[in-house]
Amino acid sequence: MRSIESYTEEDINSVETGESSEQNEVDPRKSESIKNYWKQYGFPGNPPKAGSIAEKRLIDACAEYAEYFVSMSMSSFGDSKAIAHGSDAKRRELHNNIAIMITGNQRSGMDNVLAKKLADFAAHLTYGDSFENVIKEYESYK
Amino acid sequence: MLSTAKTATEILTELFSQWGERDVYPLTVEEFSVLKEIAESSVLNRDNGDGTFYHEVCIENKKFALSTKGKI
Repeated sequence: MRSIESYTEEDINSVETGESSEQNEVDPRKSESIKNYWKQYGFPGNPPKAGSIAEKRLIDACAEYAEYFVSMSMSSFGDSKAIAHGSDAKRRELHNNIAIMITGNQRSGMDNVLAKKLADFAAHLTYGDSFENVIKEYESYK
Repeated sequence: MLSTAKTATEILTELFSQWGERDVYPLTVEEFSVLKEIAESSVLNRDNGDGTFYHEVCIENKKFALSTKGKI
């Protein structure tokens, strides 16, 4: 088994230029947003490398989580169609994986303050606004 | 037909390159399935009791983890 330190620049380049079924085109403005929100929320360590597959996965997980969260909230206001495609376990799974990506720990068992920060991060990254404001805006169209 | 499945070395290299130094690296289900084959200690598959599961492997004192809503 190789040590982590033994991975060379050549190894990294060979992987980065290798075939992948994942598309990792990320809008540079999104990369900048991740960097800024990461700092704003005081998350530990650093966000994934700009333009990487890891960054794309974080963006996609946040978007999927944010859409579930808004759908579930809309459902509680009586919009039965909004939640038809979702489940709470799916939302928890997404929240757990966002938490692992950002803090290294899953959401289950995490304190509520940090869990709220992770959800807010997903909302801002996806909608550029808080969940509260996004839901209010949806409600205003009813 | 050419296989596009990544090897454990490719997965580790990619994770270290893209996330930098950290204690826990996030995985996909496919990556977990590959890395658990070279895990140095027992693989953790824990029921969170809320409809989700936590999966973790340890390699070189680094943890690799993901959550799913079903067993894998």
